[in-house]
Amino acid sequence: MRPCEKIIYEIRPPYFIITLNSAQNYNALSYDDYLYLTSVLEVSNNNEDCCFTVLQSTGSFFSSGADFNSVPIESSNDESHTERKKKWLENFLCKNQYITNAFINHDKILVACLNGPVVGLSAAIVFLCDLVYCNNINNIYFYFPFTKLGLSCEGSVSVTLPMKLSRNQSYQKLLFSEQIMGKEVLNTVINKDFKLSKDATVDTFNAMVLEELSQNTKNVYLPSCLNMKKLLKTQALVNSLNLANSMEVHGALPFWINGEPQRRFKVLREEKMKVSRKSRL
Amino acid sequence: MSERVSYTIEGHLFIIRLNDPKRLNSLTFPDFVKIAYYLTLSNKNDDVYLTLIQSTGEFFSSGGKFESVIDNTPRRQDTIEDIMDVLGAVASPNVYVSNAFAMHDKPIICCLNGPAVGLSACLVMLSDIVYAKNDSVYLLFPFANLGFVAEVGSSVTLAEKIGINKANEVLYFAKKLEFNAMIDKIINKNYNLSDTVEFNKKICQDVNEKLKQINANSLRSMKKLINHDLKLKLVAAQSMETTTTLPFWLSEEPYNRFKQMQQKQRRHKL
Repeated sequence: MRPCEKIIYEIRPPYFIITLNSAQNYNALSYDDYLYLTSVLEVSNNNEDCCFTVLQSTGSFFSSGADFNSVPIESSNDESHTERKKKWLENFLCKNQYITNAFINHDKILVACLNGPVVGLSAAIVFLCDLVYCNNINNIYFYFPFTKLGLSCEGSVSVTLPMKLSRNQSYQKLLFSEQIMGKEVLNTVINKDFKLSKDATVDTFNAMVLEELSQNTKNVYLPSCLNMKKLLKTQALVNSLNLANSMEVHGALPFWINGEPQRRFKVLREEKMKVSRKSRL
Repeated sequence: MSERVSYTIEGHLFIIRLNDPKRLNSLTFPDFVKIAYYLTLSNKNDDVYLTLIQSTGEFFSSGGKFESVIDNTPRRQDTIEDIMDVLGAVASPNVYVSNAFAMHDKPIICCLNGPAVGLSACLVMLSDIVYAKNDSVYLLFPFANLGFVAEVGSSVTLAEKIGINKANEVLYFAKKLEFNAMIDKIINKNYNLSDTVEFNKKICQDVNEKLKQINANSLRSMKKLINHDLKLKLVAAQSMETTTTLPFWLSEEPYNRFKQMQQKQRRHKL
């Protein structure tokens, strides 16, 4: 599937609706997919009729994070250190920082509609969203398997997690790659649990969120909303997120140059044990 | 005679141990400095992934030993030597101990087997992960009772972890910080045990199990990132806390109050 097939969008002012559309592979995304997503975000940012960028999904997972099959395989050991540095600057640092940056600095109100669990960089993106809804809280978990993959924090989670969980809980979840269950973040990250039964389809849930947003904005002057976001997302917070983003990718670059994440991704690929897809805790 | 404060290295864990349960693990100023020194040793050891602080008996620590305070802060502060004694006794925990925690590269896990009072409660607050033996644990910051102010990072860590309003209450009025107010904010998990030896052992088992699949460099990198902003606040606080608390120690108030405590004239909230 090409990025523009995996990620589709629809303009329904005041909503700019982005849908992750590859349910069959649990909406795992390659860096090219994430980059395409940033282009779509730009379209929303430039659309004067839209106030909300709504991230919706399909299937049983919101997104299972990085597509293992897209992680570049290590080529021969003949690569010089400079060559390796150049390769991972391009394939990791630039892309990862750029993608996170797009979400940090997005002007429209970011809404995430969780139809299921979310993993890795995708989960970090949800933590950068302004509003989060879920179909049923018992279906939801956030999973940051960074330490299991020889990586470090990504997507500014080194700031958003302490901010939205507690500092000590962030350490527990991130250091030990533990799932954050939906119930643990109800009313701190998740704004509303729609409590839908297993029979309800994701389409139904997605439509209900849009209806909820419509109800909530009935008497609201939308330009007020947008400027409210600017006010609440203070320059200090944005600076802090941008700094974290930069420190995170620079901190992890040596790991990629050294080859540890690649080794661990390879093991996962070979074992066909998808970290993001199997059992809940 | 076993030391009151010691350490062992078990696999990838650097474990600092408090071991004076008969005296509720109360600590002298040199004991606090020793804990800080051990943190620096742990930092230098590349085989260590995590630093743990464990205790013994029913109290994590009842805080500063009265005798230590009374001996080090002479009632009459007429001479320069007297003043220097006070400066040395007070500034050293605030600067050296706070600094050792703020600058520590490895995640710090506190195994809270019971209540912690005063400076030892501050160390619990400076830890990154806290496990409670059961729900009878509490923290007490009796600084206002004893005639001085918040020390060893508590002016930052309390507000940061339990919110400013609760922190105000805990510090202004020396109110106990109970388990219910700490769970999920400070305490990551309640082990629901009654035996401290079993508690400490279980934590090491659990942590070692988790470490099996985890990359050590990732741990250090994450700590650096997550600690970044708090570190800056802690370093600034060291200076503010030390300069604010010193005049109190140089007056006779803390000395008198500790003396009273020692003579059990003041009923503490313990």
